[in-house]
Amino acid sequence: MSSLLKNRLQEERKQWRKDHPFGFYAKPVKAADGSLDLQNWVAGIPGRDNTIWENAVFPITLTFPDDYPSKPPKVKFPAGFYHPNVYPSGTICLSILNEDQDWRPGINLKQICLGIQELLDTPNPDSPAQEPAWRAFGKDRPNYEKKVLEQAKKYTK
Amino acid sequence: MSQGIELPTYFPISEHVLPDFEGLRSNSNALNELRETQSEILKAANTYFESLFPEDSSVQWNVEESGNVEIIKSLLESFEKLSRAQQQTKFYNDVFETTRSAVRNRARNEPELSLRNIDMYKKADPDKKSFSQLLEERLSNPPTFKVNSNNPDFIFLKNATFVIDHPLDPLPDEEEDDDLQIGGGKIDLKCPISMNIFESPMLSKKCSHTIDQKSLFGIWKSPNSTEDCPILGCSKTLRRADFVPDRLMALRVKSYKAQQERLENAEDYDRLE
Repeated sequence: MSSLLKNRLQEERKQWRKDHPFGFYAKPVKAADGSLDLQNWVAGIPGRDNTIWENAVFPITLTFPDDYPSKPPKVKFPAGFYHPNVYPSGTICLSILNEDQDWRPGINLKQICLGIQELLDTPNPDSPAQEPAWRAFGKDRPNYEKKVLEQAKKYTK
Repeated sequence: MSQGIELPTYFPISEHVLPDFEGLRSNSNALNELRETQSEILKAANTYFESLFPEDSSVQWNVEESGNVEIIKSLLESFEKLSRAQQQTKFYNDVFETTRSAVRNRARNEPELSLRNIDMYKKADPDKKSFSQLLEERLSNPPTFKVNSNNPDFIFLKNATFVIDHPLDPLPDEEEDDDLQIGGGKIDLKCPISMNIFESPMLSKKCSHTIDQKSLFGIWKSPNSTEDCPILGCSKTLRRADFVPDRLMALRVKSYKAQQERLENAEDYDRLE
């Protein structure tokens, strides 16, 4: 692990433990030998109050590549997650997580998590990543909301 | 007694003195002297700041609460005066040079005054002015001289005392138009790339974002490469050359560290008691 990568991820962890937005969690996973695997994290994104995403915390995984922070982390919901901008694999389609779009080395974990929380209730209809949620969001809103509420139940906090 | 010849109010400079006239130069030395004195003042300020936060940590830091205000204030005043003096000198030089060449060019089309053409000059435009009259007229209407508020040295000196006393607070006049500061936020003394406390903070002149020099060289691998500003949402494209040392941020870090040290020492002292 390069020193920049290691140092940055250690600092991200320190910073997050010291101060993070309310209702979120984020931590590196434990490797088989019990040590922390700083390049793989799990985190939870709470749905905003007064939206169809409220009262649930949605789990994500973050994989930090060897050339992070030059390259963005890969961020995924569980496979099959219902959202117009989430691929069937669970990969999140968000401009700040795309190296060819708005990813910048100065974007930190907190900004990523807040960006994903924002995306939950404000999907971008111009970048569809899956058929069902995208179609329902555009053409059958009641059905879309029903599906989102059902999914939220699975992740009730 | 014969009647004397009455000279016209205006006639061109005689060919005999033209070479001398062309040789007149404004004083560019004065401007250099002023610039040098101004950089001496900056050096004095820097020496003073360095003495406040000695590198050798065994030396007790010696910032008196607001005791440094007066010294910096008088340095700032001198700095401003010198800025105005430079502008004045430059204004004088510019007016002098442009007037001299205007008068010289005018003389090219005017024949030397002689008994044959004296009447022509007597009938000419009575408002036509001599060099000294023109110079006086142009100099009598100086613009207002004041320090360019974007001058980085001025910004540094003006805000140095504030950041020493409030290392984590945004500059007072920035708070209003900086809508990115949420809830009167604090200044982050950490590089957004390495997330370590700044060692050699570098400021982008184009967008005022600060990153550490190490991170800068990590992103801009060669002097000519262009990269997006590494800060979320910033749309500026930058080169290494767009960065200058962020002196205020460096001062914030020094002052913050000194404050922390003082707090620790105070705690040790409390424990001893």
